[in-house]
Amino acid sequence: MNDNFRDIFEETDCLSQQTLMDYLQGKLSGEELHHVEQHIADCELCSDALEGLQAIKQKEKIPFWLRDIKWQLMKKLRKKNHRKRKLRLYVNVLVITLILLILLFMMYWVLFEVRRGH
Amino acid sequence: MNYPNAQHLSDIELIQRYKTDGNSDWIGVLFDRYAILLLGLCMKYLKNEEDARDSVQQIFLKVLQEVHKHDIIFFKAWIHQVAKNYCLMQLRKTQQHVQTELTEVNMPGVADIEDDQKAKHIEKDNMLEHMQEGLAQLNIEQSTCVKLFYLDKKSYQEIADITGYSLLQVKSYIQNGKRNLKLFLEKFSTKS
Repeated sequence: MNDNFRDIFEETDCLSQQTLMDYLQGKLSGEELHHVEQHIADCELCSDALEGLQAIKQKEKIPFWLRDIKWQLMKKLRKKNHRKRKLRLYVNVLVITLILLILLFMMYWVLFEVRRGH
Repeated sequence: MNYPNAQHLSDIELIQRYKTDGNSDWIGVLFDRYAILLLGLCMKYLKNEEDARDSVQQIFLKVLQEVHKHDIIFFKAWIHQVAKNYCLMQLRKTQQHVQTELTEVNMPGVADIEDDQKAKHIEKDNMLEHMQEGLAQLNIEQSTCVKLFYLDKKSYQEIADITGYSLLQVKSYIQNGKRNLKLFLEKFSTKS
């Protein structure tokens, strides 16, 4: 009997999107089903998630929704990243320009002092 | 994705890389791991498909803002908490106070992780020796469901059919039964 309980405290990885979809659509074999339910007994996040996913009416649309959300999120992040890079470029250009101006001023001042000395 | 090994990186490694180079591809990998879980979680709390879909994106944006402020150790527990808090805020906004859900939202996921960490240090074989005694300590519903699930490898649906409990009850009896069993066996192994 104890051997049958050997996996009771075994930790398993969180469920992948594919596994969750297969579970929701009743595509899992007996062993796979047990593996998923064993994980749910341990993992609050997956357990909560499955409860919510089961309430979605058109489950077959879930992957398309996620693809769409990811596309929008990535677009926002790239835009944000692009803005950051642009800002960094402007700051760099400004710093270099300032350094060049200071150098030019110093050169001019040295030349002016040398001429005045003569 | 230009990084073929990114799938093998841990959540924390992906976050660290994003913090270092700001490349959104790292977040894309995290999204693939957690988006469906967050969608389900939001659906559970908000009970509206459109709101749940919008919330997934908002939660990710919030996570990306927050990662720079915190040193995250258990990403899964942390994102779970961020998502629950976000849903709670949404519910507050729409004046939908559901007392049971509020209680659940306040439960820290980190504590569960710590429990799991503790469990790792327990001698499994030593614990299994006292399984029979542990099972006797559970109430009849928990003990029946735990035995049917772990011993007979029945699915939740099959257990519900055999016992007449609802699916939610079966899930709850297994989760609570397992937790009680773990507590009993931990206590036993500490004594011995």
